[in-house]
Amino acid sequence: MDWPIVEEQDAVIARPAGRIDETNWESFTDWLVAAVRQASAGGRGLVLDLARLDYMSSRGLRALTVARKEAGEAMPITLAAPNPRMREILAISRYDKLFRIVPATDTPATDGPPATDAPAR
Amino acid sequence: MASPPARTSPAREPRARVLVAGVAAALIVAIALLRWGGGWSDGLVFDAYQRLSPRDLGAMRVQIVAIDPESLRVVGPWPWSRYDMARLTEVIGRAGATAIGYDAFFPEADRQTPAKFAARYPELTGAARAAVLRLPSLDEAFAQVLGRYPTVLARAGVDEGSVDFGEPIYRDAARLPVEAAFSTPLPPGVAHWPQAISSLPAIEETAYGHGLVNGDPDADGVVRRVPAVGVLRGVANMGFAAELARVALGVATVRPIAAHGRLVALAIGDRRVPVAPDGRFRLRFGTVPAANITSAADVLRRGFDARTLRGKVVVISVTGVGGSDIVATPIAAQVDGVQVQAQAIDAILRRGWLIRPRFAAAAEIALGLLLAGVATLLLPRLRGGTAAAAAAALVLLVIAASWLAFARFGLLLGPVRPLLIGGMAGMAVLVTLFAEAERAQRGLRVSAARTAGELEAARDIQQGMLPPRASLAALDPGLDLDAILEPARSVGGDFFDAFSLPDGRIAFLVGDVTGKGVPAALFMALSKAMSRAMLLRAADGLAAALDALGMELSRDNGQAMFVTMLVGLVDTRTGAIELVNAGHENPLLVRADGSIETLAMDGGPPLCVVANYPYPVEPLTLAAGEGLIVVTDGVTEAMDAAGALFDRARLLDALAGLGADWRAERITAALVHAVRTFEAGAEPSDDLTALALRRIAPPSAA
Repeated sequence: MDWPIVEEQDAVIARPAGRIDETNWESFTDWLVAAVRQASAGGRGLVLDLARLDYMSSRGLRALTVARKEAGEAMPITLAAPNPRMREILAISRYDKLFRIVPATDTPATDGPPATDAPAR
Repeated sequence: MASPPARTSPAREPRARVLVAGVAAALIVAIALLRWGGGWSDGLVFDAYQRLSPRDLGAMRVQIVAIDPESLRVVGPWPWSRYDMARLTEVIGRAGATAIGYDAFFPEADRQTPAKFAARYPELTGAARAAVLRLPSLDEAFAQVLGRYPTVLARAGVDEGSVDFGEPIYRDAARLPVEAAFSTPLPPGVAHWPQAISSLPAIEETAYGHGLVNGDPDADGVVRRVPAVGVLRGVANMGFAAELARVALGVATVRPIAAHGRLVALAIGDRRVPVAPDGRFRLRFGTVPAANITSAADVLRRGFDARTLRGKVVVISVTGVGGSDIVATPIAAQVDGVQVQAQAIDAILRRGWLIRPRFAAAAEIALGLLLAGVATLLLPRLRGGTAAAAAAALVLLVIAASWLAFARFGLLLGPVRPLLIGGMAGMAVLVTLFAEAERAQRGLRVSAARTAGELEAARDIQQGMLPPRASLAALDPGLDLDAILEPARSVGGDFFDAFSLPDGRIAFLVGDVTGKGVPAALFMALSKAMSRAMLLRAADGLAAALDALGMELSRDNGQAMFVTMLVGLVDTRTGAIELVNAGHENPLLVRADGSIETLAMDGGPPLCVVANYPYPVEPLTLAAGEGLIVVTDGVTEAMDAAGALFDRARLLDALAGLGADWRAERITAALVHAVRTFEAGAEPSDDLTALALRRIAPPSAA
């Protein structure tokens, strides 16, 4: 996986693209864990920019879970700019309750725990 | 930590086996050829070359004077009187022949000696008898004529044990006259004989030269070579053809040329005739033109045109009668032996010999090993058609080179040894490649079969754990319940369950484990068993049961698997339902009239994603005739061949227009049908699960 991982002022921004499914979830998981470690090493949060991601199967959600566990309690992981499909996937799986979801990467990351309020449905 | 065990790269092993097979085959064939010769092929190939391209003898300067049946009719039966032989020699010699050879022996005295004549006629008076006895014998007359012209007599070495051996007609072979001077002694290895058939001493002495006519055929009976030199009791002798050529060329001293102690050539003037160590040389055969054969009868006839013999080497021989010498050559099954001699003379005069170099066999084997190397390295890298074309091209190239060497340079370099070695190596490589491919195929088949077997088992486990459909409907008279699970070929981790709780309520659930295959099926089995266990003993309510289930499933969950689940507890008497949604798709609410809407639920993440998540228990009340539908993503994420998703909109469409008399069974059937129709034959990638329930009004209310 050669998706970009960019270090910014107060967050590491990881930008996956395409589809995460049966064929590539393992490398996606490795890539995501690497991004978490990079952010953790710099004491920063991780922003997963989903703008170029079309779709994610439950395997991808599992990678998010692994990343969440790797990050620990202290490090925030923000999911930014999901497309409608991803938004629905995150809603169905209630991952929107585990991760902070923002419409764009430039939304300031907060240090607080992930939002647990479900968006109005 | 122990370091991983060293392994050779699996991709290299087959290639190494191919290499070993090719090299081994090449070496085995090469060693066999070195050990057992392979000379059988040379005869076949080089004979074929000569048949394809015989030597053109149109310009040969050799004339055969044949003592043929016509000659015998005119002159008398063989052997002829020495007078006739002398006359024949006289005519030929006067005609200007450069050399005259006699492919015949004259071992006995002429039948008409004066002594015999005198003995036959006792009537002769004493003076007359004395006069007759004083007459010179005809043998002497013949000897005198032989001395006047460049004549060459035949002699033949006789082996010990031969039928001719020990006959009184032989002189000590070591004392037979040899006219050719040898510049150096012959090296060892030249064919030699202890005795010889020759002519009467009187005749022997006057001839200009002598030559051996031992034209022994090869083992297969075909004459391919004639002696250039031979040894009679330690004395070097010229071969018959070589001697005639020597005499014709006016060469006094011949030079044997040796290399590494073996004879390789005989130089007669500027002709360097390549010979085998045994002193014989090979010639390229042709057909002697009829014009080069003259009947002795014609020669003796008055008015014979002597110009046909001028400047030519003439060989006299008896032909076409019983006992005459008939041999096989590479191009003719039967030909008079004198024709071989005539061609041999011409081969020396016009350089028509064939050369089989000493290093030829070694060179052929070396070329074979080279071809084997090319085949071994090239074949595994080429595809079938290309490999076959390359192999054919190499074969043609070798044959063409061999042919060119023969046709242009008289070099005998056979294609059989190289092609045999290269071909065997190529075959070994191909067989090994095939075997390797077969092995790889078999490995794939075995692993595919094993995987298929595992998946089959996983599917069986999955199906065996589900409650039988018949029992679902009978679970509670107040509930019409049906569920279906259609496993995908790759086996997902879907499951459903429905059972009665101790408090009389009915629990129903639909779950979906992340991932596919055997791990998913195992985790599904665990989830299914645990969820029933936890729900059955959940005295503290649904939230606590879910919490306990999540903890149990998270224990020892090294694979970080998780499971989405929608659980409901329904009291069929009141229609009160408690629902918990752990990361699952929201259920559909079916109204009594058959209309459908999505039941928006708060819910929480899938089980095992986070510890101790406070899942909200969401209450709902079903009126009589109302119901719920729960599906897994095997429905909503079903894909057609183009990759389009079935999605929620199609789900709602599929269930549109149910009407008031809908039943759970119809809903599950309609969903499966809609999804399969949508997929239109595309392989389902995930399990498909649908559960439908409808609250039935109690009989009293009906």
